[in-house]
Amino acid sequence: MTTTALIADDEEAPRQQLRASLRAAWPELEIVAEVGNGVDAWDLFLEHEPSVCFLDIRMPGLSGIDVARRIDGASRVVFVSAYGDHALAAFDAGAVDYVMKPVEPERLAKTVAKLRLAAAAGPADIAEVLRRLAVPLRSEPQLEVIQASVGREVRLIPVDEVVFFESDARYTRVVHRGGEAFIRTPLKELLARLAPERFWQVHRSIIVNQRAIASAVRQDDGGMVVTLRDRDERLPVSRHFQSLFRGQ
Amino acid sequence: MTTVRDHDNWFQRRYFTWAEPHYLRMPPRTRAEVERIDRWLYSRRGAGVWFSFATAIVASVIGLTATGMPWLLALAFSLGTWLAIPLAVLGAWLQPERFAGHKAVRIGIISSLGIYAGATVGFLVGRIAKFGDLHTETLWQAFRSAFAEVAPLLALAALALAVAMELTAFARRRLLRAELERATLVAERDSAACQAAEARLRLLQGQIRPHFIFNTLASLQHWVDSGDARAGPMLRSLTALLRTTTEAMDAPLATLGAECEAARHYLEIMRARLGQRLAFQVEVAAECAGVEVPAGLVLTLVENAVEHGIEPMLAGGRVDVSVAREGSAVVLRVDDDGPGLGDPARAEEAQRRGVGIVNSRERLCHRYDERATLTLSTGRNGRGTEARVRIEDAP
Repeated sequence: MTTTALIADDEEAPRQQLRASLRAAWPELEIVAEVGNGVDAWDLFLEHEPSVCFLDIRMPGLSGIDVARRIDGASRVVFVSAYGDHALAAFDAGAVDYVMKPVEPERLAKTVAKLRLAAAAGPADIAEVLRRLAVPLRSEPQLEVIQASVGREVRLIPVDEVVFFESDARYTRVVHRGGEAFIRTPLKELLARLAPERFWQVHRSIIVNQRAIASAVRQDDGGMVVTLRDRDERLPVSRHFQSLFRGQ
Repeated sequence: MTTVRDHDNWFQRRYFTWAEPHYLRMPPRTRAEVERIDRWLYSRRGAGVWFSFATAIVASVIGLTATGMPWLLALAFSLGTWLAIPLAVLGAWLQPERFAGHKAVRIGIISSLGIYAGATVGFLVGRIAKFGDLHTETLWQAFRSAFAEVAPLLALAALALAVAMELTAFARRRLLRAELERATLVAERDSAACQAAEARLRLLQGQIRPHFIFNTLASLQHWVDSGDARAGPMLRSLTALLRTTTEAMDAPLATLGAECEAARHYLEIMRARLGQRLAFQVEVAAECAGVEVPAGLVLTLVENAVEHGIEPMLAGGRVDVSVAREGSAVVLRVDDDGPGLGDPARAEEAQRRGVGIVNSRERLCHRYDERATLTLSTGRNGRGTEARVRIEDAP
């Protein structure tokens, strides 16, 4: 099985440099996605589930640390950063690795060697390292109200009243207590502006208001669905998110 | 200055209302002291002093009348003695510089003459009291014999008074000198601390964040390796920026023109790095280009705008830098269309806590005092953030 990788950096040149360096240091690595912000990094992680993610720490939307927290050990994370970002030495103790920008071939070779070894060892527990890195990074302010155009009027929907968001070809469908509406903001961008403890992503294309969930039901084929309070819809839970529902 | 205070008693209120115009004519240092003494004299504790005075005067009037002196003369003499001596000594204490060198001699002569003149007047008044007129036929002789009798005594009194005044003035001068030395020492120490702080700030402001340097080098490295044409211009911008900021470490002030040029280099580098995500414009009105500001001011504000206004936004944004004259003031604006300051509480926090903002404000104040202000506010269209520096009566 080939090893796959995702590269995320909000600047193009360092991203290309890392790709070129990786091609030299690890020729059989397949780079499945290259993205310029944290929101796309998370979305494409869900799509490709790569085995290694190279994440810049400072990125718009979601920071590298936010993305690593969501990946939650499902993939190896290597932080790529310039000087001075967030006490990089903290990584030395943890299961996560880091490389500095501009990337030095010798340093990258060591990282690659570690990753190759780790590939055999199974998922890493990086929760502790991430907790230590819990540095508040500035990002766009959280949404309080969704503005949806319906014909000639703009409807204001408080986020608390939203039951779930679902991405639909070109729009995002907003199902709320008073009905439903469509907005242009992609689901992956909404995600970065909603409180993660109140709005749970259960699928690459679905975010649910946690208070609207009635139950999670395991299916015979290993899948899972959630049922909602006072509603008939049943929403699929993809494999990565099944650990949200573990019973107490 | 408010001399009359609410808790003054009736007498104090009357007295200080009367005294206030007199205080205002004194030099500030003397005024403060006179006021302090007055405040003490016209308090309950001061009453003891007045009582002793009164007793002393009454006692000497009684004594002098007993020796055969007419009571009016005795009263004048007693008042003169018991008020003139303390007043003279008090004067020496309050204005010691008047009792140094040739001024002391002059005052000595004047007061000696005053004593003799007083005695002569006293003698004449005494004669009128005794005989009903000056009794001119024996006047000259009587005067001579009286003079022979009192002159040495008066000379002794004058000398004693002069010595008392001189000693008081001398003691006071020494005290003042010591005080001055102490004040000078404190001022020197404060000014040294101030200069050290300024040097430290300048270093901070002149420094480009290492984060910026290494990220820029990362892009440069790649473009050089891959033969990309963007490498050349970026290296030139970086060199120009480094030159300006290195010079800023040596000079506390820079012109707005030079500052905005450095900001332009910085923005050019960031645009090369961020690509489509950054747009910018720098406009400096020619007549304002020579106005001096703390070195590194504009760059600090522009770095803030990029870091907090552009980098967190998925779609990026734009930064506009402008310097223009508004009436007699020169106004520098750095606008971004980023996430903004948020609610008023957060905005307040950003104003006070941002290290760059606080430092810049302190340094502006150093150069322009109250005439310069630095404020952060929500941008003009209700979006983003505007940093505004306003310098009143700029040259």
